[in-house]
Amino acid sequence: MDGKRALPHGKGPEAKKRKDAPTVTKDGKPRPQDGRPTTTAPRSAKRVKFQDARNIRTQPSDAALDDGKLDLQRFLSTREFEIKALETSMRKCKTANATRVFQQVPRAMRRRTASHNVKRVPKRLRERAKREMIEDNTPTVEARKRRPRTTRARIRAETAKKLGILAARKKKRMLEKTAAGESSSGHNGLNQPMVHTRLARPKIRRDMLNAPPKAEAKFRKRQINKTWLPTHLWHAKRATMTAPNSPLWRFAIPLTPTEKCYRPTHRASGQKGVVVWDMSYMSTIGLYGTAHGVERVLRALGLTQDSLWGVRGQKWRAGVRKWSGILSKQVGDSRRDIGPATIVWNPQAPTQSDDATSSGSPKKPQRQLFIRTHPSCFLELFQELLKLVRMQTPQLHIEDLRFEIGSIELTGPGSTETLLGVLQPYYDKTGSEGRHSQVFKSLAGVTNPASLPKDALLAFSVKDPRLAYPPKRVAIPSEGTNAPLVETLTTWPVEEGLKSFDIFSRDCRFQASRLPSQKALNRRKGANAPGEPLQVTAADPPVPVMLLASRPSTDGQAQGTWTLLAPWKCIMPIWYTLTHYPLSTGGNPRLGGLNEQRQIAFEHGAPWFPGDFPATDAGLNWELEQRVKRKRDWDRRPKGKRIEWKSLDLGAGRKGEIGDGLACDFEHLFALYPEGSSQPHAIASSITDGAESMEIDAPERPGGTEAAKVTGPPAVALGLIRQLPKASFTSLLESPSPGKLPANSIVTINLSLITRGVANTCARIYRLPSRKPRIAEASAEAEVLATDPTSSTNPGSLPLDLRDQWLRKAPNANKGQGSRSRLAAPPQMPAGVDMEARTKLLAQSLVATELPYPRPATNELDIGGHHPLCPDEDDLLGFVTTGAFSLSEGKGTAVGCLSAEKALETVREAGAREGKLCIVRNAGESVGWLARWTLV
Amino acid sequence: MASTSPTSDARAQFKTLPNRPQAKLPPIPNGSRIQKRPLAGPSPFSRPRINPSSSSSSNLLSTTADPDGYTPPPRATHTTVIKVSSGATFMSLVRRVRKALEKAPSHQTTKGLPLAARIAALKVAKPGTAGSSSSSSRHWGGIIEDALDDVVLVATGRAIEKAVDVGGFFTREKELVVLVRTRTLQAVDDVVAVDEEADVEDQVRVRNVSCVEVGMRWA
Repeated sequence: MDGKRALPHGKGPEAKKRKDAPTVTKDGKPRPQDGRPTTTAPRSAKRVKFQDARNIRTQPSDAALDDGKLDLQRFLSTREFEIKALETSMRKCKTANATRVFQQVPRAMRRRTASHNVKRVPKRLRERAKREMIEDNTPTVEARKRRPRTTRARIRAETAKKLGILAARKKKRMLEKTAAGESSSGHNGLNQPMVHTRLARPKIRRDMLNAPPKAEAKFRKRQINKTWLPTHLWHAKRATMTAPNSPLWRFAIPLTPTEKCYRPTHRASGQKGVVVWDMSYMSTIGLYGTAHGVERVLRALGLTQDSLWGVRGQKWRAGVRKWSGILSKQVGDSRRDIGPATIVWNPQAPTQSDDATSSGSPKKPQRQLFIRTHPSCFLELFQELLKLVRMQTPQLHIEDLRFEIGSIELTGPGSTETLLGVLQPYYDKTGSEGRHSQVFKSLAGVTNPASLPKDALLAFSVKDPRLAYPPKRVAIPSEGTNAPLVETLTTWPVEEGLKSFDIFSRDCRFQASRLPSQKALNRRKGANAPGEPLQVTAADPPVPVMLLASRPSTDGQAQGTWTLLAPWKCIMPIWYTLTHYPLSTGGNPRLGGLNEQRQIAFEHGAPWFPGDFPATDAGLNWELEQRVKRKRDWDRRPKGKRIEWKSLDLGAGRKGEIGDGLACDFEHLFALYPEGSSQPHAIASSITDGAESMEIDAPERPGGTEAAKVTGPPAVALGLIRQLPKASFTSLLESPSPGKLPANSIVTINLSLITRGVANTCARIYRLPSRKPRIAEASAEAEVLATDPTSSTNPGSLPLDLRDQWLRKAPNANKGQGSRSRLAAPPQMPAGVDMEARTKLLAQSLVATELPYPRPATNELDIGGHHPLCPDEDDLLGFVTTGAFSLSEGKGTAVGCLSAEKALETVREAGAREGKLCIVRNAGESVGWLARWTLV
Repeated sequence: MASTSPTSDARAQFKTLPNRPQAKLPPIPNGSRIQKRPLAGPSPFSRPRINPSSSSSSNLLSTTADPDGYTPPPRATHTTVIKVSSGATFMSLVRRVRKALEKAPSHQTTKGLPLAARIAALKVAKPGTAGSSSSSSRHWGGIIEDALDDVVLVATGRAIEKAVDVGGFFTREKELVVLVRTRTLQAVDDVVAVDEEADVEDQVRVRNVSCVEVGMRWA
């Protein structure tokens, strides 16, 4: 507008289109006129602002003509003005953009309903957000002040109101009472307690399950059927938790952070950063008694390797290494896995151990150890332990320390650095620094816990991490100085002056759980000089911690994991400080949930408990729950959009999915069906069929509830599966005589797809079909060679060269052969033929048609002309339990389980290289992909 | 080789280099195998960085020498360190290097800035950048010339070939300076029994690993 006034001749085309806004004055402030509601005024002001910004003023060139003569000066100044107008418009448009301030917040800091609540945006943007909300007339509703809509909410609100009145009355009465007491003043001393009793130490009953810690009254009702992690409130704001009515393993567990984090987690765990988990839901069991009794119990749990009880396991038994592995129990005449566990011994004072070794002294050495296991198999292990412990004389005892000891797990290159920044060793007197804390402090510069000795362990006491809050970045020695670090890593001097660990002591744990309140710390901090860390006083108890370094189960250069064990009550202060540690590579530690745990296990190619262990009770329950969930999801889809399992075309006339498409159907693989069901497909058909079979099934299972399904026949059938350890599989493979395999045994494998494709959960794994024809066919060996080999086979049977078709798919097989889509090898011109022969061959190849004349039905010889057919059902090896595209490999990988018997047979027949090729077909798809499996 | 002068002095002092020891490691016992641990040292991302605003010579002096007597110079804050793994593809490395070079402060483009700012940058930048780079190099002196690298590729073992390839690729570019430095790192190996059940105590030994750093900067 200003420009228009400056140039009296200005009559730009845009200027004509635009009406002057009557409410806008020169300075651009809205002036409510003509009775419009004031709320719209800011809006219209905004619109005016946009229109103004988008307006580019121009001038017709005839303005520069003076009596038909071009006034050059005027013409140039007009153009100059136009260019300036264009530039200002561009600049204004950029500033007057339509984005709101909460959209500028980085993704990690975005909060729900930030558009409606200014308190959800960072403080520095709050003013702008407030202004924008007024401008845009955004409705603001505070949930707290909203009128209750439902009956329940109304009753709740009324109760809250009544309670408030009651509380106010009570407070008033109390005030009056104190006033009266002060006036009389003689009673004042009597009111105060004369005797101070110590805080009640929580009871740990031995050989029994212990109750979870008593929740705060405010939160008790929410923890009736589950227990909160010590960091629950922190997590509930930042992560998706398990649904309130369906806790996982009796805990409210964070499943995944609310922000998108798949790729950031991959990066933080492998290249740069650190991922942390609150793993307090892991269960710890204490076992104590005589050394021999403990050994007998552990042997009964499957720790039978001689290496554990000989020279090699000396360090483990001394308490300076941990042991991690799968525990098992005797069921009938075979062993069934319980689940993974970590076992740590409490070291003995040296004098005691001398006694034990020197003579058969009357006092037998007493040992104490922790067994840390997964909550899904805790009860099973506890009961098994109880049984074993009662059998020993003298009797051993176990303690349920689930809610006594919490844990945090860290993985990633910054994990050691983070721990160093947060945990500061506690020393009561000068010079009493323990060996372990010295070693811990010398670890600065370690970027991978896997570079520590295998199963290394450190136990010491630390200060309350809140004393040094906020945590400071630790000084990392420069790259040149790694000689002392290498020295530490090779010698690992932790055995010297070994004392029993404090975390094993109930008193130490109890003391540590009486940390001063945050309020008290704040008061001390206020009295302190700014920026100075708080000094340790008598009120700050040492916190006993234990650090376990573990390597990824699949050996390699992948990142290891730190596990920090600490008293349950100390987890929250440690966690809070941990998440605020400033990493040297930038950023803070990332939060992880259960899904991230699974993701990282999957990227390492390691099986995740319980999902990838169908041969354990916990894994079985997981699988059954997943089946119910998949079925529910499948049911929810419209009929036209869900996979109809019965009509799946597998090619060569085969119809229908093998087994149940929504399950890793090991029952089908091993033909395990409950005796009650007459037809083998009873379980499958009830799920796979449409409406008609549902009607048939209806009388059989009238309830159809999830609980009935879980305890029903599939559980019994799946319970017969046994896991074959890797070691025994390899030994069986090496032994020349076919050894006796336990019935229904499976091996866990990981597989990577060789060419393309991604395997999903429940995908079917086949071996390559054998070359030997299954039905003896005398006809057409010559014919097969002469023309297309596939054409001669009968409809309904697989092509004879199916194995070769598949082998040709392997990348090293068709090196030099250009065409990938063709199943048969393309004819090639032989080298060194003259021109005449060449033409002849060419003519022949043109005349000879590759296509068989009566055109075969679709999917008869191959799938869609590109993919070889999947093998038959008797070549089914197993199922994929976890599968996806792996970011670390850059292709599809999967973890699955194979029938040990069939896998052994295949590898023996085809050799270690070709025998480990397999075909993976997703459930409900007819196309299979070539993959290579390795044992894990 | 930017830092040849201090290292050559150090080399003169050393009679036998630790990375070329006279006694070789003993052969591993029968029935055992080597299990490599991941490299232990601090990650290349976290080498002490010099910040032009807050430089302290004490920080530089605290760094001690490599096994072969080479003192790795500190890096500038802006230096991008790329770890080369043997599985990385050539072009992906090239792309990462290019991206990092484009972001380097010594090669700041005015792309994406408003027109006025770009014009202003044209007027100001030329003498400014030249002056600043020369002054900074003068300020830092010879020892820390490595710190001027905009991008550093770090590779050990099998990946050395790849890093050198990528470095060679960038030597074609006239406005880039490519420097290759060799180093020695120490790696820890576990000697474990092949048979997992065997009752033999594990041993540990230290092995020297070759390492190459390819530094790239704008000329």
